[in-house]
Amino acid sequence: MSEPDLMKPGLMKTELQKPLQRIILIELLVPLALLLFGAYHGVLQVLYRAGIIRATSFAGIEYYQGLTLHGVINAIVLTTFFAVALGNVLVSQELESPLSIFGAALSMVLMLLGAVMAAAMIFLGKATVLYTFYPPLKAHPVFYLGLAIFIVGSWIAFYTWIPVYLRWRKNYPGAKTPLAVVGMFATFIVWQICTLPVAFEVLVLLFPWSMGWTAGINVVLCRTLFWFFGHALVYFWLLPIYVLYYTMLPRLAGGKLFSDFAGRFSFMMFIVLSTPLGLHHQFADPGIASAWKGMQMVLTMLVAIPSMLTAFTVAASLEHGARERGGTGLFGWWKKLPYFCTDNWMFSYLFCGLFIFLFGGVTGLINASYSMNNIIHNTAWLPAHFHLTVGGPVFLGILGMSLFLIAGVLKKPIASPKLAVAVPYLWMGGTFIFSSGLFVGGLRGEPRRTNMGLTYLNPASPSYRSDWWITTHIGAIGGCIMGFAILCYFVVLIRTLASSRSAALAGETFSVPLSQPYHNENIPAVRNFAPWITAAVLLIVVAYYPPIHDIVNNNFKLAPGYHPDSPASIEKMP
Amino acid sequence: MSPTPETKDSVSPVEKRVLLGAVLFTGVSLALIAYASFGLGATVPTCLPKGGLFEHGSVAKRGANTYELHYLAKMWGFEPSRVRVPVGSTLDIYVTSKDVTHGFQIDGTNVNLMVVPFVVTNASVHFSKPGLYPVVCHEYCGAAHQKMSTVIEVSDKVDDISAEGLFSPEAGRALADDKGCLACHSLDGSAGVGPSFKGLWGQTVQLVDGSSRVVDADFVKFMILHPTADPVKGFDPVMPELPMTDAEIDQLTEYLRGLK
Repeated sequence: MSEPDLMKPGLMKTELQKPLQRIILIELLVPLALLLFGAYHGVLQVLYRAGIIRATSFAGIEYYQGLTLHGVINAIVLTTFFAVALGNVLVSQELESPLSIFGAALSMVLMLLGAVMAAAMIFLGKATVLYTFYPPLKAHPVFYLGLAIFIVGSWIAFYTWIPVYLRWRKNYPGAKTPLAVVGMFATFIVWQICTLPVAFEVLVLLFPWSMGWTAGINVVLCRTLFWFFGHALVYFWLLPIYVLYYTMLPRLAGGKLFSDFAGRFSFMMFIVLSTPLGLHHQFADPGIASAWKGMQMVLTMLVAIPSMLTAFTVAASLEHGARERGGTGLFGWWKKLPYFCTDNWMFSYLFCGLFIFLFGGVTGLINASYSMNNIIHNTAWLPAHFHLTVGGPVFLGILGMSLFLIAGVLKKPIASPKLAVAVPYLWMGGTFIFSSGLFVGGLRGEPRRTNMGLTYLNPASPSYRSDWWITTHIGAIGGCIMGFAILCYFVVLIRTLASSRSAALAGETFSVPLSQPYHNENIPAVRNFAPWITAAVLLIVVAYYPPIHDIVNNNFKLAPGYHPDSPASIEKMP
Repeated sequence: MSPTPETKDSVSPVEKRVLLGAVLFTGVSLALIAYASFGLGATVPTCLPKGGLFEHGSVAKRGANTYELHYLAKMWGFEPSRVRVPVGSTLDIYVTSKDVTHGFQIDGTNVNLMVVPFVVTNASVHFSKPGLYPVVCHEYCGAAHQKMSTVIEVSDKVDDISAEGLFSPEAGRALADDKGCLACHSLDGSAGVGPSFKGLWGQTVQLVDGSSRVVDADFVKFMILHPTADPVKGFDPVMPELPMTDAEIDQLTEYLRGLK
């Protein structure tokens, strides 16, 4: 097949429903528009941190307000909208079935409403509490309500896919569920499980407290419920990208998925292991016994198994593609992949993300390694790490696939394909420079989430740290390159949107090109969700019942709320 | 590799070997972590027994070279604000917060703690080299988070611990006296040029503009910085502007809070 053919499927008999196409366009374009603010404040942050901007606010947005914006928009709004949009496409396409337009539209409207409510409170400066909420810092009730509505909207999308899946299983007894559907369902099973504790935190604890109905908050409980959700969230970001790695990347490489079993087994493992490990974000917290932290540390390390399996299988699939292209030798086949091919531009987004992820995965193992966390906890090392995970494979996957879906649905060829191929490489270079600065800075004690230009990077301040100068400036250079890459991406996106429809594409049905398996194993154990979901629930009970039981029975003194601007509490001590 | 897809019931041997390798790698990692924790004693904070909650920072000698330090974290500083210890000291450190969540990381050591309001956390550290060890609050705690840091000075010229910025009622009273507050504000409830400090904390006072305010940390700070902007009803607006540092304002605030 020629390179352009690899990005074309041509197998689909039916087109995605027209209204569903419009819903998908909104679900992709609205968060991308918001991303402009999120990314803008990413660039500003590296400038603040290096002391290049030395102020509490710039152009009307305060540092911590922008930081909240950066986290909520980039890590919650963009990622969730993308997962929902991708699921809408893949479930409908692979199960060859229309979706409930009412359900899909309701989900979209609720997510938009929730996102606008939360974003408006952040822009108004009434929710400068970062995306982790951090009670007893208190935000406006509308912020908490907006996030809850947003999450409920994403659940509804999943609920529209379930009957379609069950009908398909009934119509094709014994048939293998398409791998892409297994992956999207794994994503949303994890999401459904892990959003329950955070919904409880937001609706039962934080919202009534921010309304003034309850006097104080159990901070340890809130932190534990947040991280109950907060690390599974990481897998919710990653799993849709794993779907692309398992089902789309092998085809773009010109080959086949090395092992169908590896994909199914990894997705099932993630259902089991994604949630009962959030305590590894709380290794440094008081009020939680180290035994429970140790138990969840073991579960965290087990995630290395599906991750390494995925790394091998995707690499083997790339090798298969390269050999199909005539690649030879033990390592020589690497040269044959379409790294800079403008006709097959999507390959570069997935490939660069995969390469960045190698470093993100290894540093993640370091963070999870129990007492080793003492060296890097809450330092700049952490943002260095997760800009190589959520900021690497996830972000590039979202950028590439959003462009692919938008252009595909609109029946337009992408504009400036050379620039489109340059974006992931620019981003990769920028990210590596940025993260190098922050990794080393973190080891030297630079705190994360801190407007360092005012004090630590200010020679006039008594707390000036000359040893942090070079690392923050390397971070700033990398961050600016990342910002430039996003700017280039938006040039491609806007020029594509502004271009006219292609007559050649108008006659074709659009769908996502997916790969065939090379090894198509038949292992019944990985072909049914039920036992894996059961195992997940049991493991969550084992991992979270003891610490939550302790926290609830410890009768920690409840904390009154604080506004981020004042050391005086909003209400009296309870 | 053959170009044709195969369908079979078993997993390919190479995939099995990779799976085994991943399991072995994870096992070895876990064994090393277990060795670091149990063999080398590299620990993480745990759940302390209840009853150790404290409201102010303090330092105390517990043995020949061991000291016990209680740090109170608050928006946006630590109490004590600076500590000096002899080289060779072992510090048993307890930290809590009186408002929001803070962080406590001692530069160049393995002490890295989250500080959660009304929960006490603990770590030990030995200093064998003299020098200045900055302590940074590394958790977002509000608008002036970047200001929140302190220093532990390890010196080969001292033989006992000393600390700055500790609260004591005596120090608070001395400061109130020194700044001249007590000339107009009595401590026994008797009338003066200004309202008596006794029992003032937490009271609701009427302002000249008709509104009312609760005497809290914000109000005390406002009155010190802008003494005549919003005078209290029934008193002449004659309070002078006194130059005071943030630490001194904190000290006075704590002193007033204690005068029930």
